[in-house]
Formats: sequence, structure tokens, C-alpha cells
Amino acid sequence: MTEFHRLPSKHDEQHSEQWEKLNTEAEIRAKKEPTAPMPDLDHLTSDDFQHVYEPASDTFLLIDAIQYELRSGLFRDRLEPVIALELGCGTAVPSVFLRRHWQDVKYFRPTLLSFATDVNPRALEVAQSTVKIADPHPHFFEFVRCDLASSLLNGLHRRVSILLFNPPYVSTPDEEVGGVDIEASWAGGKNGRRVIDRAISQIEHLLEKPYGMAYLVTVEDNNPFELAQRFQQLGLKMRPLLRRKAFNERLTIQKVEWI
Amino acid sequence: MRLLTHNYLQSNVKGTEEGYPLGIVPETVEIDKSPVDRELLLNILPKLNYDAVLQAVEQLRPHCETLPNLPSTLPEDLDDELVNDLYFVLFDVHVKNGCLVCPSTQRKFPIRDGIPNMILHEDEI
Repeated sequence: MTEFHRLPSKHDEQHSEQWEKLNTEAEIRAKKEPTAPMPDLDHLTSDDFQHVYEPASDTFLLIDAIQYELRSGLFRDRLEPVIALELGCGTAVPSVFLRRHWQDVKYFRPTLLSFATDVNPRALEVAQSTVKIADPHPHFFEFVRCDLASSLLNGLHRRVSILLFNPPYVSTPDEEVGGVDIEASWAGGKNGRRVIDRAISQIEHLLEKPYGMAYLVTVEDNNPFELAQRFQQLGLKMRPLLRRKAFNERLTIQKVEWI
Repeated sequence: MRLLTHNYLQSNVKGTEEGYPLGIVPETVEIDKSPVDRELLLNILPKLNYDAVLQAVEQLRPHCETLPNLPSTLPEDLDDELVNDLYFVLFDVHVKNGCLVCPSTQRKFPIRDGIPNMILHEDEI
């Protein structure tokens, strides 16, 4: 990955160019990455997907990114347990994928404790049933119905090693933000940033130092370059990891870690 | 909801001075035994609020006869029995239904099918 120490204002052309270069590298990585196998969701019905976001290109790219990271040796040979937290989990496919592929013949990895939150009760019901069917080690996956991580902020302060977040990133009128049914999975308000922006300080608060990392889905409307600057002010580096065109969106998995 | 999760949960109702630890009013408690993971327990333990564990155990005791008696403070060296007891309490006891209670405002948060509902109404934020 191309590295640079400072992310200056977005008017700095040279650094915008560097950001574009990082995007190109992320596109190349995504092209090379074999498609990650989806957990089986045959137990879910079309009625479930009237209320819960059905895994789509963004979910697929996120699990490709998890696969990429696991293959690159994520948390290999670590002894302390790893806490993973998924915000706004929906079906919780990314967390289930992480758990299914956590143990690897190539690497030793410690026990993985998973938590997931959502505002949508139906999503949590669906996620719980998916965990029962598709998680080989269901004995630590806990769900909490809350807004982002609001009820876990003190308890998990600096304890989250892997944070997954496929946010509602679609640009919509602000009035559409704040529901608890399927619209909560996509309605992101102005520039699709209303929920993402609230998550920034929570992510900073939750991530373990120095190894914690977050994986976040963005589209171009979200102005990722500016988002990276916001993270940088909090001592965090955000860089595109995988990037792929889907319909009219350019989906990117952003990796956030301590500088 | 396992007691480990309870240890991490807080109430954020407006006007809450100290939304921790949450009281538990259990209706259904289930035991689901899992293999004791000693390393996991020993790693997690120093980062827990042990008083909150003790309080939770006492609140669950009337609904769950098999809960062990835990020492009021943790010794420096944990024998196997204590490791097993602590692991059981934190990982194998599931509060399926009931509610959590904010110690400051008495606001109740229902637990259904093992999932606590911490969602606040607009006038509580």
C-alpha cells in the first residue's frame, strides 16, 4: 500500500492524486481476490427480506475484504481473545463469515468473541437464526438491540479488535434517517454521512490500541477523502482496502487503524 | 444474554448519573454448557467489573439453582474449581427473558429471546 504521513486539505492536488492511487490499488486488490463464499441463508424467506437488508454487492465486498485480511494473517499467533463487534449488523453475514473462517490450518488464532447490534428487531432475529445454522462455534455470539454501540461504549472501551460496519451510506433526505425497519439499513441522510459521522467517535472510543481495526463500507457520495481526514484528527488512519464498481456505485471497504 | 454481555452493558437514559451496573429481573434463565476455556477466562477476568458479576449472580440465583457461590473478592491464584465456576457464570448462563433495570432512573429494558432491547425513545435521549 502507498503510504504518506499527512493527509492535508482536499484542495491539495498532489495528495488527492495519492488518494486516487490508493483507490486504484484497492481496485486491483479486489480484482485479484477470489469471491468469498457466502454463508448459507436458505433458512430466510422473502418476507424476512422485506424487513431486513438482503446481502448484496456491499456485503459481498465486505466479506471479500475479511477473507483478504484473514489470508494476510490477521491476528495470527495472538494469545489474548479477540473481540469483534458489528454495528448495524442486519443479517450479520460479515460477522458469521469472520467466525466461519477464523480458524485456519495455516495460522493459530485465539478465541473470537463476537457482538453485534442493530436497531431493527427483525434483523437481530434473522441474525440469531443465521448464527445457529451457519456458525460452527456459536458459543460466543451475543446480540444487543441498540443504536450503533451506544449501550456498549463504556464496557467495550478500547476492547474491540475488529469492528465491522456496513452503514446506511445512501444519500437521502435527512428526514428518512432514524427508522428501525429496512430503511435504517440504507437511508444515510445528507451525503449518506448522517449515521457514519455519528459512528466516527464511537469507533475511536472502542478500538483497542494499538492493534484494533475497523472495516467500513463507503461510496463516493460519502466523500471518503474527507472522512479519512476526520479519522486522522482522532489519530486513526483510514485507507481504501478493496474497491469495486457495482451498478452506479463505487463501493469501497475502508480499513481504519491507529496511526 | 450472557452475564459477560451484561458486564459490558450500560443505560444511557437522559438524566442517568450512573447507568451501571444494570439490575436484572429474570423471567427465564437457561443453562447451555460449553467446554471451559481457561485461557479465555483468565484473559477476560482482569478486564471485568467483578462486583457487577456478583450482583448479577445474586439477582439470578432465585431462578437458577445451579449457580455457584463466588468469593466476594478474587484471590490472586485461581484454583480449577473457581475457574470452572466463573466460566460457567459468564458464558453458560443465558438470561432468555426478563428485563434490565437502570440503577439511576429505574428505566426497564426488556430482554426477549436473549436479546436486550436498549433502544431509547426520543424524549429519553
